[in-house]
Amino acid sequence: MERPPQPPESASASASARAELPGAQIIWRCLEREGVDVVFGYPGGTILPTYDAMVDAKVRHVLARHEQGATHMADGYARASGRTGVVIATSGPGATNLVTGLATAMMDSVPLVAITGQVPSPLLGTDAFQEVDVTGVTIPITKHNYLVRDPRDIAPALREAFALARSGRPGPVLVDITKDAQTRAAVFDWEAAAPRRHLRHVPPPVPDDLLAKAAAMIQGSRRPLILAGHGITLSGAHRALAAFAEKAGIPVAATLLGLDAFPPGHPLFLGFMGMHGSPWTNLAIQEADLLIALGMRFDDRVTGDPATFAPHARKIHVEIDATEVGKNIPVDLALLGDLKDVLDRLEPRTPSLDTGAWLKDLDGMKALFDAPTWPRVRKGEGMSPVDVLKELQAQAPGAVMVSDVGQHQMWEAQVMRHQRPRTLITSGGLGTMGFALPAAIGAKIACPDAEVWAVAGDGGIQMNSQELMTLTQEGLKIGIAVLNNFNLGMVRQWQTHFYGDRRSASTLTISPDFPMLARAYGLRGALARTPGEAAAAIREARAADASTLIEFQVDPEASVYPLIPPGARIQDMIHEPPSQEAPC
Amino acid sequence: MLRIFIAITDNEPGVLDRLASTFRRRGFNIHSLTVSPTLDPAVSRFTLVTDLDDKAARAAKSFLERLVNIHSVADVTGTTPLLRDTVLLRVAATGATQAGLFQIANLFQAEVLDVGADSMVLAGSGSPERIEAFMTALRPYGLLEMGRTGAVAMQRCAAAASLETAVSF
Repeated sequence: MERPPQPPESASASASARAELPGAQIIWRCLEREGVDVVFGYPGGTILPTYDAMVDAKVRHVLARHEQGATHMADGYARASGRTGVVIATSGPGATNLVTGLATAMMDSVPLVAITGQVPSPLLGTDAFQEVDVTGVTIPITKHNYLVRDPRDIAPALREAFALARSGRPGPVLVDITKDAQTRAAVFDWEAAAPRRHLRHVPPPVPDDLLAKAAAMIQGSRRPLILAGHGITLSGAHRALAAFAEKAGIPVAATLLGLDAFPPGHPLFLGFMGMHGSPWTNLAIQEADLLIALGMRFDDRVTGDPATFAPHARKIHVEIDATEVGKNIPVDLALLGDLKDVLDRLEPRTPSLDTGAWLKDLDGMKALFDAPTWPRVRKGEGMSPVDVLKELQAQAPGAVMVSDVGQHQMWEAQVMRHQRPRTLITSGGLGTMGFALPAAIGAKIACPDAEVWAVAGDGGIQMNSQELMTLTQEGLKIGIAVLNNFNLGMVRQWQTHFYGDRRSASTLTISPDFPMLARAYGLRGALARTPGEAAAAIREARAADASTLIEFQVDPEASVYPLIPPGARIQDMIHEPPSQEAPC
Repeated sequence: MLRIFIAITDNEPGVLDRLASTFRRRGFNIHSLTVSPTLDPAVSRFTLVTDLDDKAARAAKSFLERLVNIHSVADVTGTTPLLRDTVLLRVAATGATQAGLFQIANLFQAEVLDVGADSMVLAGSGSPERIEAFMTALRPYGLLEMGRTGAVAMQRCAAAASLETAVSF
């Protein structure tokens, strides 16, 4: 709704007591009041007033080298810290470059606020220079978005954006602000801008009778299994989960984004489920008589064929987003609400089960599959990528791991033992190649005292390698492990398994000299072709003062196992390469 | 089957886009859609008719309810809601057939909005079934053009209180 440029009558009383500020200054005042200490961004024409006002603001700005990188940095910052990430970009191409980052955050429920400049309001809709309808573009990939054309609407929009980003199921919110709204003045009234609509769809506390029903279902179960998802971390429920699982004696399987939600060495921890999960974990799902799904969404990479998923199990789904209930898998009981609240209240009602026989069965399954030999890769030419990650695990057991997308991401999930929440950061839902490096930068800024490693392939690292410059610029020290198999490995693996090994555009016949590329950006660069070189390179990288990129040249033909073919039944999992390849 | 949803929303730009986008991305077609402000001009009311099975209808309702601009969504399909729809029809009409058309208009309490040399424009209003019957009666004369509003729905007094009273903020 267009408003006249004068202040409204209702605001005039408070206006007399407060000076007017340009919209650009209101933006920074809001960010300061929201407790934002760092923003990631890239300037341009329509956001210049805001960048001008930034000179006087008490907020650190990290200049990325591409807006996509800035968005993933804000994402990594949010995932590592639990706070809301903020990214700023200009209109047009600046705004469209945010799209992949916003979609990544949307899929993985990461709280982000994106602020974009927009052409002056009289030019809206005229195809002005660098104009794009970014609110239209981002409707499906944000929780909500705003087109702000009046400086008086900036504070209400930003406050609501922050409230929405972190309330309920978190996610990204975009605020598009015209250049004239940044330059025109308005009264900054923080109190009057208090948000309300974020409370609209937050479910009320789960009623006691439903908790009692859940407890009764648990009581009647002999083979219960907890499926832990990203929601555990998002609601800060990892201790509540441990208390609940221990009291009831229920084993815990984890989704990719739930792997850091439960202590990996815990006797009840069963490990990684899904397409590349442990065989015994997936079989446990098929054998269970009760699944307690906690903050996970039965993604197709978890379930395989939904019709044959967990056929013997009744299902309790604890979830804050009502749209997830029954979306992929029908459930018997839904507890809609904040996971920590539900677990805190369910735990005292939950009986201590005698699950000894079930746990023994699970041990039997592990023994059947010779668990210590997993993850398995072929003994082929070149270094094993799994051995590289095992070395990294041995040397840097407490590190924050930020993985990219592809084979290395799955090996990382299989090998590394993520000890604390927020120590595994990866693009789970969207599967965004190019995520790891910028997200690791964001994670390092969020946790300056933590050891941070980005793990990427030779494909993904080239998708945002320009952010190597941001690392040096900000004086940050992280490790970057590039597992170079000279292939788009996961694509190659699918071609091997599902397309008769016809290799189509999956071989990276030529790549930059990665260590030299790192040095060109002011980082340390290292090359490792043998396990001995790998161990030494990791040691030196950890001891060094600056960031190091290590290129690990690994077996080009190694594949990730097990593999449940897309849409297939869990019991159809593939354990080894097709016969023409050397066996594991 | 045809589903009738009533959505109570904020009256602000972009709401229609978000609502339509929720349907579009899942391949759900919108059969008809009406929108207007409610008694509170800051609040809009959508009546949305769509062809969905039970599971898709539950999902659609749930996805709509997640939108920030939306106060509430009711699937009123099973409550035999009150429905009104308006149609404008251009019908072929000659001197010989005009009288018959006037009779049909009278029977359906329709209005004759315009009479031309070889056609007439009639306006009919009522439940979707009554409009279908009106059109069936007119079809033999030769329907040339149709504009239809789509249904506006309201629940019966016995079925529910005002949906607008649910609006808190």
